[in-house]
Amino acid sequence: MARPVYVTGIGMTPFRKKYDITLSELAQEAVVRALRDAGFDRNRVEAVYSGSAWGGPLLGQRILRDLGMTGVPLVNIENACSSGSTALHQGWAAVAQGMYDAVLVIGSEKLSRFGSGALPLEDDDHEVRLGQVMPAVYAMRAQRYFHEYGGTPADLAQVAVKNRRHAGLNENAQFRDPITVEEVLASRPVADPLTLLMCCPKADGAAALLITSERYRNGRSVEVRTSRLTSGVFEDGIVDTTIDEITVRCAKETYESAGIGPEDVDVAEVHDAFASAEVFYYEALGFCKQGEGLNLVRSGATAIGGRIPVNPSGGLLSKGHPLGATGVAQIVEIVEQLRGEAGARQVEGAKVGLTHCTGGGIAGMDHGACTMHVLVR
Amino acid sequence: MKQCSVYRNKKEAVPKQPDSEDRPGESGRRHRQGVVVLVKKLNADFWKQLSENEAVLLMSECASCGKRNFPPLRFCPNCHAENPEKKEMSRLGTLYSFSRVHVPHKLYSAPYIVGYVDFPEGLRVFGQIRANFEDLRIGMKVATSVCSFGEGEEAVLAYCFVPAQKE
Repeated sequence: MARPVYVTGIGMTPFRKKYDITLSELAQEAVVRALRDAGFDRNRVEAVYSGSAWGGPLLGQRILRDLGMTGVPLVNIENACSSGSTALHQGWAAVAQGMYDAVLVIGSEKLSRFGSGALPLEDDDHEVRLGQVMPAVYAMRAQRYFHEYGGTPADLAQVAVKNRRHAGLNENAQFRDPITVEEVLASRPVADPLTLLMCCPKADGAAALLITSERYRNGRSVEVRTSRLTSGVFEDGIVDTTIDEITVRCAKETYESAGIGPEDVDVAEVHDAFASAEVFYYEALGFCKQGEGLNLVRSGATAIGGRIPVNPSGGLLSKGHPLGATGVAQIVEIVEQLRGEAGARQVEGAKVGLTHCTGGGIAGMDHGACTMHVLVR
Repeated sequence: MKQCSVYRNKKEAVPKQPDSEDRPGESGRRHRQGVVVLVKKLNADFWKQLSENEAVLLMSECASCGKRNFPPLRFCPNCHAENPEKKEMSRLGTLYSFSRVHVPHKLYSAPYIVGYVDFPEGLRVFGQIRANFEDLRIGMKVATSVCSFGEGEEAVLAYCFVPAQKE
């Protein structure tokens, strides 16, 4: 039977456009911060799960070799944008099942290596060979959403404006200067109707978590009530792409296993790779009804101080999206919120936090992967 | 269509080559004035060219369970029967959604238009669209056509979609 699992230590680097140190050096910063945050002896870490999309072979070993943390079971994990959150899921499962009492979870990425433009996708994919890029996937969903439910690019811009306002309160975010709806709309087009400021920027960054059982729990530990991982369902038929099936399915499993509903969530970090995506996820996560996502952002409900603050960290849109680090950094934010250590961006009285991280573009699927976590204090 | 100039040498074509291991989905080779010219056809196993600017897509249809897929698959995903039969799809479909891309995939230069087209066979297909962006509307009829990307020996042929009334 599964036993309680806790996040006992958190650490992350600021997300920045480019770090002039290696990926493994960057990740070491996050690891040391997480161990210090927990006041935990590195020799008691029993296993390590390291997630990265483009980290290359043996990244976990490269990170830990110079930290004197070698000779333990170590798994390197790739699941596109969900790589880090998948590493957390694996570490959580191992602790929940009683294999270990203390594991380290790392997520890290250096996207500065790719320069500008959309991220390269695999040419194995027949849509990619014909010119598919991630922004176009989201742009086409947005275009269809407008057709079904109404709405304008100015509505989408409000998501970017809100998340940037939040990022102004977060030193770890890459972009912190406030922006206006007009500036978002006037930024250069990426894939109509999405403009540059509606798309998450690339980033370099790393985040790490010390995950423990009751044995090493301390006064600042936050319980991981549930961890869910699922993969995309293949569908090349005629479906409604304004409904993010993988998130709907993962959310149902998550709420059931956590014994809560969307109305119980006090704060959420969701995968706003594009402004339109955050709106779809409001609906898929049950924060509002289908077709009412734009109303929700217009109402201010998803800003700090609103009914259900979403992405108080600034989200991918303002923090940047170092793929492997993203899902782990979402947990860092929620733990700070539930500990009451989030400073100026604190969501008052937050007791239940949710993270949602999808992974990857692949023909015939909403996404390759989806992970969700519920944390409680 | 001007962009289909590569097609003019069709009658000189030599038998189709199997897909290269290194370049999935590309094939087509022919002789022109004694020189072997590689004509890359993207996703070559998924479509047939009917004329200079007409093409038809190929789906797989499982003989055992009837499951249809685009692109055609090696195994039926429903019952794992091998090599389901390939059949021609309708040439006309309905535009489900579209976007104009300004950050191109490395093979292409921006801007270009992409879209999803729904076919009567119950299948949705992604492809590029050749049209004035302003003329496109969700729900309009589009036809399966052939487009060439790039110039001369660099040219790549692929299926694409055009507004049906402009055929």
